[in-house]
Amino acid sequence: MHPLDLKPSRAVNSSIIAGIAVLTALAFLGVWIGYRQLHFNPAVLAMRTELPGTVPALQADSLIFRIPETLVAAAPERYDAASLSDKINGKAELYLAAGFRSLTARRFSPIKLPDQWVEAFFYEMRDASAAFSVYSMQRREGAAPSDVAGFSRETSNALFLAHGAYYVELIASDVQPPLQEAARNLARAFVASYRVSEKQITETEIFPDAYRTSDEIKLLSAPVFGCECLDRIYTAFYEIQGERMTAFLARQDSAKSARNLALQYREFLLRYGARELELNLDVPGVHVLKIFDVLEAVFTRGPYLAGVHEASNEDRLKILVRTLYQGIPETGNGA
Amino acid sequence: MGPEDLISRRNFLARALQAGLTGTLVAGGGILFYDPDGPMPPVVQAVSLPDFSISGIKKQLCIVHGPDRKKSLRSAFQALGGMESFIRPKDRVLIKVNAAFATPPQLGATTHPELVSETVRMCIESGAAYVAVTDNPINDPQSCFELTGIGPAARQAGARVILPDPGAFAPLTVPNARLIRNWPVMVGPFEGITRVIGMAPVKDHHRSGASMTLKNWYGLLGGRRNIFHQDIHTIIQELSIMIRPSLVILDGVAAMVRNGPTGGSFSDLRRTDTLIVGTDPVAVDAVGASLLQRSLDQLPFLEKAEAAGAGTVNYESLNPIRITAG
Repeated sequence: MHPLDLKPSRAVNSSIIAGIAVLTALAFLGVWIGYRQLHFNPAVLAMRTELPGTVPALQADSLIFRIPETLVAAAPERYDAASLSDKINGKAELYLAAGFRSLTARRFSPIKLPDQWVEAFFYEMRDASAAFSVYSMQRREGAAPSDVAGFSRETSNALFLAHGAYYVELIASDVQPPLQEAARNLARAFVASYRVSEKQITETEIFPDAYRTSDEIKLLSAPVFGCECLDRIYTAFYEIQGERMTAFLARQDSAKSARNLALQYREFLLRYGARELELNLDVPGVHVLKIFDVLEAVFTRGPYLAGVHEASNEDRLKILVRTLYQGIPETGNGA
Repeated sequence: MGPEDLISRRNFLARALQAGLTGTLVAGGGILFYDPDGPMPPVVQAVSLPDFSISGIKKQLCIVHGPDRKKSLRSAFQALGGMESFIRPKDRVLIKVNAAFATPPQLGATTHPELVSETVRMCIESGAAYVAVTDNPINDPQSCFELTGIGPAARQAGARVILPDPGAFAPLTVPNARLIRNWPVMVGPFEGITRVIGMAPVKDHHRSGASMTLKNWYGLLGGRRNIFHQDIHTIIQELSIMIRPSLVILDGVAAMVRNGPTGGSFSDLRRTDTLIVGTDPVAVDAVGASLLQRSLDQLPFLEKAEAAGAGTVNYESLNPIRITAG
């Protein structure tokens, strides 16, 4: 029999069919890979434009993506505690000490001024008081109150606000009305989209208005007045008969915690050479101490620790202590 | 399988021996070449920067008052004997600016582009063969150079703009330093350079109290340099001896008096209408401190830099030239 006359066996047939099937499958796979390479998921492309990319997207960023009359000018930049100084250099420590979580920054341009921009910084902080702390620590000379949020103010080219756990800076590249309007629109859109519960911070409303020199209230982190035990203390400035004094206030977990903290501060002052004075004051449990020619007072009312820092005159100190004490609600539930 | 496929005993033993020898050779080779220490990092020769200060001339300082940066700069160099006193024909000049943030120049967080362009032009007028402008802003260098206006200003005036790239960094140790030891520093742009000019704005700084010409060298550091913020005054002291510039230019026309080093609001700036040019960076910064109304106690890095031999805080001892730019 001539070899060419041989009929392919059933086994050879099976091999050929299997080979063709494998090659076909590989061909399909190749076509599919090629197709996927040419049609990237837009989300992948979007991710690739981000800069450090180590921090998950913030709610803030998606909230303000579309603002009327405003174009997005640049990809969002995201920073965490390890990379924050890449963006704001030496000022990172201020945020880190106060309870920083993440930062999303992005530039926006008004349609009318495409060459100018507003850079938005959304600092996500640990909680509302941490956001208020960094807001209060960065007062701008001549800043006017703004109506975009409960805690907000603006200068000729910038708008600053604390809203819930966010501290937001909107910095315009120049002083121009369309830029400032774009900043306000961004702020309003953010506040409208990111709802927070009312009265997250009560201390700012407790400081009495009488004798207060300005609406400037700060939230300081430890060490406050040099004392490590005093952390997250609200301060406000008062002036009585020409003397400027600082009043302080901080809500604690309980009345007992507040009393313990008052005693710790008293002991701190005594340790550094303070002398306790007996003054006739209608404030229960108040401690008045003299140290380096200045007077310090500390007392509690309910869960609130309060006091006066660096007074020079006993009578004026008494006035401020009484005023402050009367301003604190008896229930301790805040205003 | 037929009887012809059966292997003989002799054949089996020979093949088993061959397989055994092969396995032994492979294992022996593995043991022979085993490196218990693992791969070592590449050995890189630590470098140092040359001393760019100008020998043979006494320390000079000029304080110019006036709102116009370009006029003040021209006036300062005129009073100091001309840019030719500092830049010779064929010199290769590197200008280290502060381009740390992608912010517009009018916010005062970065070196003003007008000063950059005018300095570049004056260097070229003095015969410089090459002028380059550089900084190492960690945050997107391209954006920083473009949005601050420094990049376009430098290029238009005839300078080359050098952005940081990994190949530009080499480990550097400052003699007797505690912090800058085998630390990556951007030394690439200094290759072949004969004159170095530092150029910075007067700014408040959250950690150091002030950021001026000495703090400006911080921008040459690579790696996770933010750790140095924990010992900011020492790192500035070490930077003051790491690099000895030919001259420095401090822009105090609009000083950032609060919320530095980023600022952000025009209300963070105060018009102080002063430009300081000198060959002693410590003295120049000491003048800048007075614009911020900061004492030496508030800026410990100044006295630390003086103690390290980088200059004098007593700037009056240099008999500064005081002029008002017309």
